[in-house]
Amino acid sequence: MRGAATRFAGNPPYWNGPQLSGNWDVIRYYTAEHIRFTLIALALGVLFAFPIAYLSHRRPVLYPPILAMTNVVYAIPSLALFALLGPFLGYTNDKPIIVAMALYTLVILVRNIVEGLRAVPRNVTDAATGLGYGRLRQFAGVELPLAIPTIIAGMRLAAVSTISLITVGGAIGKGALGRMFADGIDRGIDVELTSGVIAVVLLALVADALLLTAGWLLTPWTRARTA
Amino acid sequence: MIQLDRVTKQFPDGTVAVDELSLELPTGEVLALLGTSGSGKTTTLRMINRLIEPTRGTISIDGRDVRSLDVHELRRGIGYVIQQAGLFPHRTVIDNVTTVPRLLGWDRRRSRSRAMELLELFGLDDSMSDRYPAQLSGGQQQRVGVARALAADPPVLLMDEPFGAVDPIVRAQLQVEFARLQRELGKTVVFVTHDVDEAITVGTQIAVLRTGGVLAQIGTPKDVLAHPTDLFVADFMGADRQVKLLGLLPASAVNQRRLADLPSDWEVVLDGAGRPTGWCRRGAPVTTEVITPVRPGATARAVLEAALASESGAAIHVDDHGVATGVSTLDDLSLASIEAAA
Ligand SMILES: Nc1ncnc2c1ncn2[C@@H]1O[C@H](COP(=O)(O)OP(=O)(O)OP(=O)(O)O)[C@@H](O)[C@H]1O
Ligand SMILES: [Mg+2]
Repeated sequence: MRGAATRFAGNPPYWNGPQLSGNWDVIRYYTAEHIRFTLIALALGVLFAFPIAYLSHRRPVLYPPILAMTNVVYAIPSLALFALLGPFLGYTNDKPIIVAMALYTLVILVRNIVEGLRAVPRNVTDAATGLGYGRLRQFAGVELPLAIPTIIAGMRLAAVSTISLITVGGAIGKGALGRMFADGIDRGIDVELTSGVIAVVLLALVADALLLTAGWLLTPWTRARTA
Repeated sequence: MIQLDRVTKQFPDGTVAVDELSLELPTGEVLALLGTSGSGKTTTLRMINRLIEPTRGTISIDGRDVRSLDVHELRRGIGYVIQQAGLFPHRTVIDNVTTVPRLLGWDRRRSRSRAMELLELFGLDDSMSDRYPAQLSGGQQQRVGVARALAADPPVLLMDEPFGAVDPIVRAQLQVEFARLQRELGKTVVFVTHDVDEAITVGTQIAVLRTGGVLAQIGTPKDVLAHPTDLFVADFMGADRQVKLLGLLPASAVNQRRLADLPSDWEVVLDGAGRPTGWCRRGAPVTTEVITPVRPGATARAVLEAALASESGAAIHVDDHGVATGVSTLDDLSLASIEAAA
């Protein structure tokens, strides 16, 4: 059996006793780590998704193979993907799990960005081109803003699924709040396990609400219809 | 001046949308590009601002080949209006209108004051400037679309069925409004439509295209209505093209007879001031009826309508004070006699 010492490599706080009190620092620590993983993974995902989506949008023949590729990546079980990334990114650091999560987000983000761009009415893009917009300026100033509702929908899904998937890393000692699941099960501490689950659910809810709000703030025109 | 010289567009799938089209549109004129669906009107228009590149032939504006200019600068110098306006849904009315000025790098204040000026010109009051397009009626959206095209004061305006998506009443309003504005602005305009009446209202020239993008005829609305080159054009202009032509001619071109010279036994009944109040048969008792006289500035078509509406088959002309000046019968409305006079 793997001991607590290997699982808690470095000096993360350690869950003491069967109760909650005195263990808040453990929850805080892993929640912070979970947020960090999620933010970096999402940021990376978005960073990759945009150029890939832009390319798929401009060259529609590339879209089906690109989608197929993101689907295949998504189909790789997470533990297998961590293992695959190990040789490139190392085994003991946080990079494999973060990069794996970023890769998983692509399946949602690329699709949603492309669909959002495709849904921009033809006469709107025609008008923009006809009035003299340059390509990138039109993309950034007209097409992208109009795709925001669909993109945000994708980001909400990506955020929630990332927050939940990260916990799988608990099995290899890299799961942020997932490590509380693993440790709670290993040592039979129900409260640690439950606390971890609650924290994950709360994080997912907060992330979803934040993105929803961001989308709301970014798209005032969608609310103007009945005003 | 816009010139098309033997312009042909064949799409990659082999469709020939425009075939050896040559035409010349002098500065300040409005060319109504008329034709059935699929006759290449949109393709022709979009070749002018290079949204589509011609397969062969050249297009020039004021003597300069459009291909010799930077494509973005070319487009910023040409107003473009499309069906359903194509407004940017995520931008307010004022931000829509300032699009081209901002692309051209005008400062914010200048762009905004120009936009406000245009909105006023189009009868859109201040309170609308901060609305989003979805908060406007179809007619208002079209007006904003035209205002946006005119924002940087381009000398050339391309309009693709700009009033196609609104109801007939609003549409007629927009046409009249546009014709009035155009008289002030003096832009060189290519206006695509498949509505003959619209072409007649807005166009100083009409080009009729047939399927396959072949030019069937080009000329003034009067020319095309009065002398269609073939059956296709005659059919396209409509069975009522003579009536339409009357709408373009002034009432003063119709022969007027003196009141006493009516070739029937009808007489005009006048009040003490010489204003017509009705008709009666010579010798019969006077009964007063509602009549619609032809006022100064009316069209020959108003004469026709007045003649058809009156019991006697004749129309009464009046001056600015409503005093009867003469009568015209249906015979006086024959096109040959009007054309001879006009
Ligand atoms: N991108 C394209 N590829 C192939 N064929 C095209 C393309 N665009 C237009 N066409 C064809 O070219 C012809 C002319 O089309 P165009 O849109 O210019 O017609 P139009 O006169 O504007 O018709 P409408 O009144 O319906 O708008 C049509 O037969 C059309 O199907
Ligand atoms: Mg068309």
